[in-house]
Amino acid sequence: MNNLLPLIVGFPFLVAGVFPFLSKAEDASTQKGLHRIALGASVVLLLLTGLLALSPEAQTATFNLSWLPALGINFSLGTDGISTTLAVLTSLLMVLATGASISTIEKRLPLYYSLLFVLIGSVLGVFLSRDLFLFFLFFELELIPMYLLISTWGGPRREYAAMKFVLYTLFGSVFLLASIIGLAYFSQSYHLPTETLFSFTQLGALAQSGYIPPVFQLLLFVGFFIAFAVKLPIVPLHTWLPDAHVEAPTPISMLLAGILLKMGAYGLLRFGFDWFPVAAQALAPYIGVLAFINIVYTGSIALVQTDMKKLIAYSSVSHMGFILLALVAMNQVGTMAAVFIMVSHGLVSAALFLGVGTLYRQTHSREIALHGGVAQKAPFIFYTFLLMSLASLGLPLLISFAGETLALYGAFISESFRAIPLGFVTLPINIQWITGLSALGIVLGAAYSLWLVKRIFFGAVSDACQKLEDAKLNEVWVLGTLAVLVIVLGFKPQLLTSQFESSTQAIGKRFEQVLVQRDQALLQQLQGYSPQNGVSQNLPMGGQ
Amino acid sequence: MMLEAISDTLIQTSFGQFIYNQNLAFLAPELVISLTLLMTFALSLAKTQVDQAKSWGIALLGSVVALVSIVMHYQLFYTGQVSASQSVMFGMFEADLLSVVSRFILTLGFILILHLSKRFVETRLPSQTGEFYTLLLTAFLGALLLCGANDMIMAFVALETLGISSYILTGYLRNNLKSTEASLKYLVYGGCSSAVLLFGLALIYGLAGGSTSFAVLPQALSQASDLGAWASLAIVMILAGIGFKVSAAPFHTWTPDVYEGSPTPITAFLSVISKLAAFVFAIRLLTPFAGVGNENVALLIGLLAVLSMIVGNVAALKQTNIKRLLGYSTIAHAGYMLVGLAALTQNSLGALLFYLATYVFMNTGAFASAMIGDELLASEEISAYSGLIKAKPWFVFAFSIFLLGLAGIPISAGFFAKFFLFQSVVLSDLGNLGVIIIALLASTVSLYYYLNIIKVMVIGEPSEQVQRLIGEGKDSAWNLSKTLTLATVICLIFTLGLGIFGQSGLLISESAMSDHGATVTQNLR
Repeated sequence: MNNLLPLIVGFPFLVAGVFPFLSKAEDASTQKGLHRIALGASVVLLLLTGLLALSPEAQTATFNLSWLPALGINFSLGTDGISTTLAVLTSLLMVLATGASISTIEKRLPLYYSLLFVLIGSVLGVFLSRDLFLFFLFFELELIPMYLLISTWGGPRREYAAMKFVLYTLFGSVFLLASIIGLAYFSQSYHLPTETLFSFTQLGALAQSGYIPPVFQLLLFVGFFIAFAVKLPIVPLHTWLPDAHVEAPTPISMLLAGILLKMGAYGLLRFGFDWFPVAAQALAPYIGVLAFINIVYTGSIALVQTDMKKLIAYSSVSHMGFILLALVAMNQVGTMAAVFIMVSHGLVSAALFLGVGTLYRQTHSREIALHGGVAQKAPFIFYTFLLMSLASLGLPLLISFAGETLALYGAFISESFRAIPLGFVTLPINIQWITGLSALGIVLGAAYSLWLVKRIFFGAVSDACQKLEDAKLNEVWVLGTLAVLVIVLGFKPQLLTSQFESSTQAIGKRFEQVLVQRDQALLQQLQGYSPQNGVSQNLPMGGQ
Repeated sequence: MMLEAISDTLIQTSFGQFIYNQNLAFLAPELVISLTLLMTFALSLAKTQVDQAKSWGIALLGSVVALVSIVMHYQLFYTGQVSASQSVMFGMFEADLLSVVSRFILTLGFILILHLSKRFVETRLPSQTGEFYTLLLTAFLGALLLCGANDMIMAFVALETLGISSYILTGYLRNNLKSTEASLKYLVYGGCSSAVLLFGLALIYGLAGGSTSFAVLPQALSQASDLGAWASLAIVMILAGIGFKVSAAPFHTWTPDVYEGSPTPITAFLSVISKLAAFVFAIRLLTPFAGVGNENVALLIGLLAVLSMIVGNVAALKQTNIKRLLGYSTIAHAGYMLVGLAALTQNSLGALLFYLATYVFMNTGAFASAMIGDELLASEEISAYSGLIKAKPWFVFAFSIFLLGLAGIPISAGFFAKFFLFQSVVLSDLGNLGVIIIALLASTVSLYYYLNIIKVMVIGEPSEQVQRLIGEGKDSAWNLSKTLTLATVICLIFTLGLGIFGQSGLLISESAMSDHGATVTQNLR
C-alpha cells in the first residue's frame, strides 16, 4: 500500500473543489493571486509525483481500496515505470501550463482553474489506474472539462472544435467500453474471482493467456485500437486534432499535445499491444501501413499549412505515427522508443505551442504570412523556438533524436511482419520497407520545421510584428525549463530511460516471445514435424 | 396491553379474519394513500384557499407514512420475519421484494414531485389545490398498485387509475391551449393503447387456460410446446400497450406534445412515476416468457429499444424548448431501459431497476431545474438560459450534473447505472454486444444536445432575462420556492451519491429480481 498514490490523484480534485469559492473579481491583483494559488498547487502536485518517482517503490507502488466489491470494481491505483514517467510528465506540464496561463488567460479564472485541475486529476487517474472500470471512468471524466476549456477560452471556431473533440472521443469510447465489457464476459465465463473482475492483473493475465478464442481476441483488440486511435490520433480518425489544437488557448494546446495524446499511446501500449500480442501481430502489417500514412501523410499536410498552430498540430500527428511504428515493431527497443517519444514529444510540442502562443498573444494572428523578422524583435522566443524546432526534427544531442532513432532502429530490426496479406494478394512488403519509407518523415519534419522558422523569424520585420515584444517573465521561465530539459535529456537520455527501462523490457520480451512462437509454428507447418518429438504429424492448421 | 387486546378482538371478527388471511397489512402504503386522498378530497370542498392549501401538507404526510410503512415491510423481510413473497387479496397483489423496492423508489419520487408542485399549484391553480392533489394521489395510488399487481384485472384497473387521473392532470391549465391539446392527445392515445393492451391480455387469458393470474402463466407457457400465432399477437399487443406507457418508439408520438403542454410537475410525474410503474408491470408480465419463446419476445423488445434510442436521440438534437427536449430524452432513455428488459435475466432486470432508481432522481432533478429556470427566466426556451452561470452559478452546476447524468458521463449515477445495465446485458450473452454498441453510439449522440444546454449556460453571452437577473443582483425581489430547492438538492445528492455508493442499491435491486425470478419461473437465469 502506498498512500502517495491516492493523494496524487485526489489532490487535483481537491484543488478544483476550492477554486469556485475564491473571488471572482476580475481586477489585476485578484487575478495575480489566483494564478499564484494555481501555480502553488501544481508545484505541490509536481513535488508529490516527484516524491513517488524518487521513492524506492516507484515501479511497484500499489493502492487498493474496495469500492464496489459485488461488481468487481475496486479503487485500485498502481505504478510501473511507464505510469510513473507519464505521471511526472503530466504534473510537470501542468506546472508549465499554469505558468503559461498567467499571460494568456484573463477572464473567469476560478472556473478555468477548477476545470484545469479536474482535467489533470483525471489524466493522472488514467495513468495510475489499475482497475479497468476506474480507468474508463477517468478516461470519460476528462472530456467535459476539456470541452469547456476549449469552448470557453478558445479561438473564433472554438465551439465547433470542442464539440468535435468530445464527439470523436466519445465515439472511440463506445468501442473501448464494448471491449471492456467483452473482456469481463470472458473473465466471468472462466469463473475468475468476481471481486477483482476489472483488475488489470487479472484481465491482463486472462488476455495474454490465449484462453480467449482468437476471433474474440482480434475483436477486443480492434475495440481498444479504435478507442485509442481516436485519441492518439491515427489517420483517418485524426481530424478533430487540428481543429481542437488551433482553437484551444495556448496552455490547453500545451496539455492537449503534451499529455492528452499520450493517453492514446499509453492505452494502445497497455491494453492493445500488451494484452493482445497475438492479435496485434496478426494485424501488424495493416497497423504498420497506418503508421507510415500517419507519418508521411500528415507530415506532408504540415508542409502546406499557412497557420502556425495547425502546422504544429499536424506535426504532432506525424510524430504520433512514430510511436505507432515503434509499437508495431513489437520488440524491446521499439517499446522503449514508444515511451521515450511520449515524453520527448510531450516536452517539445508543449514548447512549440507556447512559442507560437507568445506570438499569437501579441499579433492576434496565427497566419505564417503575416509574421516575419521576429528574430530581430524577440530574440528569446527565436532562440527557444529554433531549439525546439531542431529538437522536433530530431537533431542529435536533443531529446527527440534518441526517441526517433530508437523507433526506426527498433522497427528495422523487428520481425513483426514480412508481408502484407490483402486477401487475394500478398504484398511482399516487410516492416523494414515500411520503416525505410517512414524515415521520409524525418526529412519532412526537417522541411516543415525549418521552413516555419525561416518564414516567421527571418526576413524583414512584417507590419504585424512591428510592435512585437519579447517573451514575458512567466513565458521565459516556462520555455527556459523546457529548453533545459530538452538539452539535458538529449545529452543523457539514460536519465529518462532508466525510469521505465525495466517495464518496457518486460513488455518487449513478451512481444518477442509471441513472435518467436509464431515463427516456430510456421516452421513446424512448413517442415511438417514437431521439433519436440520429431514425429511427423498433421498439424491442425487452417488452409491446408 | 390495551392495543393487543383491541387487535385480538379485532382479529376475531370476520372482517379482521379477512384482513389477516388475505395479508392486507402488506397493502398499508396503498391504504394510507387512499385515506390521504379522501382527506384531500374533503378539503377540496373547502371554500377558502387557506384551507385548500393544507392539502399539500396532508399529501406529503400521507406519502411519508406510506414510505415508512414500506421501509417497515422491508425491515420484516430483512430480519426474516416474513417470507419473501406474500400473496395479498386472493393473489391479486404480490407483496414481494420487487414490489417493496419499486414502491420505495416510487414513493421517494412522488415525494419529490409533491415538492415540485407546491409553488406551481399555489400560483397557477390557487382555487383547485385540493382537487389537484386528490388527482395526483389517485394517479400515484394506481402506480403503487401496478407495482405489485399479479393479476390481469388488478393490473388493468391500476393502469387505468393511473392513466385516467393523468389525462385530467395534463389538461389542468385550462386556459392554456397547449395544455388542453396535451390532455386530449394523451386521452385519445391512452384510450387506444389501453384497448390494445386489454385485447392482448384477453388473448393471454385464453392461453393461460382461463385464469387471470400471472402466477399460472409460466406453467401454461411451458406446457405449450410452441408459442403459436395467437401468443405472438398477444405479445405484440401487450408490448404496444407498455410501449405507450413507457413512451417507446414507435408508440411515442404523444410524448413531446404532452410533455410540453402539461404543467411541469405533471410532466415530471409522467416521465418518472408512470414510467417506473409501467416498467415494473412489464417485468412482472414478461418474466414468465423467459426461456419459453424468449427469442421472439426479446427480439421485439430489442426492436422497440433500438427504435426508441434512435428516434429519441435524433429528434432531440433539433429541440429548442427545454421540456420538449427532455421529452425526447425520455424516449431515448426508455430505449436504454428496454435493452435491459429484452435480455430478461435476473442481473439485467436488477440493473434495470437500479437504472430506473437513478433515472428517477436525474430526471426529476432535470425537471426541477427546468421549473427553476422557468421561474427565473419566465421562459422554457433554451436560448433564454444563455450565460446563466454569471447570475446563478450553483443552479447551473446542479442542472449540468443532471444533464451529464442523463448523458451517462461520470461521476454522476447515470454513468454507473448505464455501465451496470449494459454490462449485465452483455454478461448474460455476448451476442448482445451489437445492441449495446448501438446503445452506446446513441448515447454519444445524446451528449451533443445535453452538452449544448450546458454550453449555452456556461459560455453563452447573457440573454435579456439573464442580464435583468444580473442587474438585480443580490437584492432581487425574486425568491426561490423552498420546496423546489429542497427537491433539487435531494436529487443532486442522489444523482452524485447513488453511483459512488450505489452498491447496496444495486444489490437490493438484484435480490429483488432474484426473489421475483425464484417465485415466478425457474427459467429466469
